[in-house]
Amino acid sequence: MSSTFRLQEAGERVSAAREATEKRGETFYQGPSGIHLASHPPFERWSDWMELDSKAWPTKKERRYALIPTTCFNCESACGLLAYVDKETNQVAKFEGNPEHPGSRGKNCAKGPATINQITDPDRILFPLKRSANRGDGKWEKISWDTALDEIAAKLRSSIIAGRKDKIVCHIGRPGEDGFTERVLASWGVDGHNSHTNVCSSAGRAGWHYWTGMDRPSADFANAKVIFLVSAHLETGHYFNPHAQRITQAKERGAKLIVLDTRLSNTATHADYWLSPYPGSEAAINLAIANYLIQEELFDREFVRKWWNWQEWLECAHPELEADFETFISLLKETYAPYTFDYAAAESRIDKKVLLEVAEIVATAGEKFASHIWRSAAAGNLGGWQISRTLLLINALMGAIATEGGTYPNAWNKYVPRPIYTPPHPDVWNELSWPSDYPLSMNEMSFLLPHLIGQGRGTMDVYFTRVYNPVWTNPDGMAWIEMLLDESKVGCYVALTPTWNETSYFADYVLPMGHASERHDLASYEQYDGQWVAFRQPVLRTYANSQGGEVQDTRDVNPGEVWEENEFWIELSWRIDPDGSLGIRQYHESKKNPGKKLTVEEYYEYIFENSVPGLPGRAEAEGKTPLGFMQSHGAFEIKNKVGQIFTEAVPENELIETATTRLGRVYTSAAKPVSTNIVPTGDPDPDSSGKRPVGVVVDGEVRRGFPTPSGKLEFFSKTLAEWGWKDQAIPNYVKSHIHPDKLESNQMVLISTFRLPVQIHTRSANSKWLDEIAHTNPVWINPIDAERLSIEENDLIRVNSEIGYFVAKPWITQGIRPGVVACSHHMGRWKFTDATNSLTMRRVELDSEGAKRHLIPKSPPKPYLSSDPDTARFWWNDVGVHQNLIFPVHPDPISGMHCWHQAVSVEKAHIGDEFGEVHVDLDKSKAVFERWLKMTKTAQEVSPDGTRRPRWLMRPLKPTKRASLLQPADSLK
Amino acid sequence: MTRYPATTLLAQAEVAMALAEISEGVVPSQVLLDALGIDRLGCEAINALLVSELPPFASIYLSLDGNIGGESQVEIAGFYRAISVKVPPNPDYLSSMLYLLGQIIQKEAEFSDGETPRSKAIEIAKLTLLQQHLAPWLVPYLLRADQIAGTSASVWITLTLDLITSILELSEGPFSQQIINDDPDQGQIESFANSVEFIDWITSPRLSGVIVAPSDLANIAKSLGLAARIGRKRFVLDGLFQQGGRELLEEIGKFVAEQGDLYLSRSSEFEVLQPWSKKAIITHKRVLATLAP
Repeated sequence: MSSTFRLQEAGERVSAAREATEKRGETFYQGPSGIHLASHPPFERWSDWMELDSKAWPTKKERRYALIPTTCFNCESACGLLAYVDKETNQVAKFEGNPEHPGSRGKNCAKGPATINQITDPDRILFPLKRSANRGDGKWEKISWDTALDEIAAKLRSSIIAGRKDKIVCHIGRPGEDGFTERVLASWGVDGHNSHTNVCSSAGRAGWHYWTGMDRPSADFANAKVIFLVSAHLETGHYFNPHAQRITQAKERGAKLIVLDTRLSNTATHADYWLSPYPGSEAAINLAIANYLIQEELFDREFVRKWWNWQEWLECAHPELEADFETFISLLKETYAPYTFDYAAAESRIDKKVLLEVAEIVATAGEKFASHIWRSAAAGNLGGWQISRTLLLINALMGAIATEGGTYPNAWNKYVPRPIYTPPHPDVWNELSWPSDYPLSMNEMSFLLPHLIGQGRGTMDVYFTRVYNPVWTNPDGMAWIEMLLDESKVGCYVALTPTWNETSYFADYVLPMGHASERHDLASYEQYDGQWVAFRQPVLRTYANSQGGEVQDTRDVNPGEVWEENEFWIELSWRIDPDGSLGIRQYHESKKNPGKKLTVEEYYEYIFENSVPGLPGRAEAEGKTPLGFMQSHGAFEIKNKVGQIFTEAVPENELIETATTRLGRVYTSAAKPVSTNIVPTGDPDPDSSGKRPVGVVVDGEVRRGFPTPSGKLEFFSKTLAEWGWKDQAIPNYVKSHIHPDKLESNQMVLISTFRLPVQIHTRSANSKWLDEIAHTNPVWINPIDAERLSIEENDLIRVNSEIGYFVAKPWITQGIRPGVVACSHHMGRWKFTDATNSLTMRRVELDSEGAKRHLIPKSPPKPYLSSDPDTARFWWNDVGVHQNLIFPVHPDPISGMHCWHQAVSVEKAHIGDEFGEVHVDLDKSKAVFERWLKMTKTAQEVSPDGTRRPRWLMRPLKPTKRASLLQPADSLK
Repeated sequence: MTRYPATTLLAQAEVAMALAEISEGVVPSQVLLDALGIDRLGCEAINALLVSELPPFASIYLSLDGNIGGESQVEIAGFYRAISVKVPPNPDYLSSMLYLLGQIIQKEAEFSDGETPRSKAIEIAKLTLLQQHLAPWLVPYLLRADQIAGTSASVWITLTLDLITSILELSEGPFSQQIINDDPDQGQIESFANSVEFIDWITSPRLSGVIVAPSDLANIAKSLGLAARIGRKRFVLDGLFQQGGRELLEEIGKFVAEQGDLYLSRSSEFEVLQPWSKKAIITHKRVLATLAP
């Protein structure tokens, strides 16, 4: 046969095969690696994917897999994962990225694939355990789930029946889901939701919330011209992987990246402009840039005129002036004139020429200015929320709000589907979580629990922690230990956790919960200008079902008796209210089979069939049910390019019997249309006649506006002004508690908030791959400081705070500016016993001496024999130091955020000091708490309407109006 | 200029893309394997060849040091840019280059009605890719592949050679890739000063004119009763020379001569083989000079 003929014939055969394949909607040519989809198995072959077994090399052993999508459960990004279920072993062999996920687009950081370490961790908790000796003695007995559920349910029932509804608290670490747990607590009628947010992001949120009525940025990085980060989230943070890939895209197109980070972080190394400010001066820099835009008239005047509540500012703060726009502009110029580059340079210690150059770059961006802040400086400083508020001031000046390449409010790029039940919120207010001392706090004052309980403000009957480790994560961990050891203060403590942690050692019940591939959850996060939902699922259950197997509940397929939370909460709710007389059971009953328990399938079936627009149609086109679609794809994009919702005209049918205020706020008698998206936003109050706010008049048209009281961007926060903080009502610079003026001559600033890219608090514990990469946290110190303090590389150092000290190793580096030291917060894990193993926990002893507490290292982690041969091979014994123990609580008087930065003195370790030891004085920690408490303005002092907190502000559980009213004995301040 | 009709061009394009898929080194779909007439054994043989024996990166065969990357890879990347195609992560990987060839031929078919500046530009792009960047190494590579993998990979090898032949049939030279233009001076045959110099030479196909695969070294070691280490070719050769110098050199000399003969015997079909055979002959002469008393 001639070569031409052979070629022709082969070409025709291949063409026929290709056409047939493409007709079925499948991809024929995957293309060479990096061009098409070759880096991910094509969706059409997920049910039967073959790879050669790498361990069998050089023998070519084929292994066949079913690829089942789920969602990562390590950090908050909720990236897509593909679980490779080995058809021979029926177990997950590995995790890779899910290319069908709109946020992460098939890419993952190290933490995603390392999920397999967590699944197979030989030290994970596999069975329900009950304390068998004194609390904290570390003795446990294995019990059945039935016993655990019955005993815990009995305690909860008894509290609920006795009306002690404020005594039940569930403290959430990584939510990783959208509201399931909140709704469970609402169904119990308790105000028991307690989040970790006030040690995390509430200051960043507060700055956004006062402006927009929504609580965080969603930057359209991929289309930006200038990107301005007050964060390190090319490497960590919200939402690192999805954002980093879009920032990289923008940089490839030529976008400029400006990073404010005192440390030379991995993010800073990628910046076009890295600004290393003195900690806490970030707002001064933001205001200097804003002032430049204002004085040079480089801002979008029309946007400001239409969308800022400038009239309200003039009316409330400057009634003596004409209420016209030009007067406002003059006043704006006058107000911000003091924030010169000279001023910002003096505060930040950055050359003013550099600041000017950055401001000039910012000015070129127009609407394509994408900014982001989440924790970082906002979480470090007194008044950190103003760093967030001043950053958004730049966006608001540029008109870069919800524009292509600009910054969106998160709620417009997020979709929380309405579930089968939405129980009413409770008729009770939990003063331990929401004390009236902090009426404007963005989230629960959870980190103050030991101090508030210590002051006799209340106790807890049942306290749950859910994937949370407050003893280790929160400041002042020794105070937490004191509280947990006292059974008169914490009646019953239940730890829901996949892994042993420092707090769970003090629990009465330890209940094993699943990892990313072992549980159901829904997630949707703002990662670009679009809306999507992603489905976390127990992949072995989905696989078993696909093979015709029957699974009663997720425990049937998980290791040991590991469970998922959805089923756990439903079961627990039934046992609290078995006959339905408490009104709880109704929210956990099947609608298809009344009187029967709601199954997790029905729960998600309902959501996917009724509350995710476009999903049923898309599923039908593939011949699947909506649930089947989500089980096979793992995620669904509802909308791309959401746009400027605030400019949308309000439809006529919503404008019934309207009332319009002098400043243009429009109220209506029309009922609020039921939305399938229940994403939380601010909820402005109705007017005096009960009409609800529906829009705002702009140039004669009723537009949707923002969920703020004024309906506009609140440059001026009337809420702050009315609740006692007139001086902070507009974007402003607050000198931090670690401002140079406030430090002693021997003190430096300790930055303690930064993450290591491959670790995530205790969530990533026992991931051997991650632990090998990052297992210690030396203290960054500049060579100038090291020389001044005679510290050398192999020395040990003492870091002294107001309440104690720790002993650590120094890392002498120019990556940190002089006068500042830094230590990552992921390390220094510890345990009291050798009964449990870990790759990153040292064994310690806890000694007491009056109010003094001493954490004494006893032995570093050692290699050990287990089902995983690698545990006998690990080579490191330096696991860092637990620095958070020496941090007293620093509650910001407005946002409530714990202000993490510390004023410390650093010195060479003393003779006899041992690496990793920590010493704390509880009397001193109490004194610091009381000092900061005096900075607050209580609701009793400032509430303009007798409520405990402005009702329009977001709150995970929103008690009834009756419960929101102040009672005479609420505050013991 | 003589042109193929659109149907022939489309068949060529389809085969080029199908071969690209096969050359990817992962297991392609059964439908594709069936269409090409490659069975499971053949697929495994091709994978083994690509992964373990002859890595299909142009830069290995076109660079002076015989390593992946470097100047020759940059040159190929430059070609992608010149024709406004996004440079893939491995521009000199066989799969990427065959896929690109298929895309260009597909484009050529669209404009095959008559000669226009557009159709001319496409044809030039195709011939540049083939003559400068692909054929100069792929032809000797495939002949070696045939020797190593034998009949198991014959469909893939034959179709790839058919594709090259059919395109070159209607085109004119010259092959301007550096390996073709190298003009080894046959008048000065120098012996190798030491084993290091020899190893550097023999592991560079561009210098030596021969493509040595790991299995060649294993066979040579076996025939001499030497122990072959596992690892990079330089490392293996170094280990062999530590065990036996002269006999080893003699055996490698025979291998080189065979390669030179092979290329010479096929050089009437493939002009590109002429410089390869010349280089192999020089290498053989240098070996003999080194062995001379």
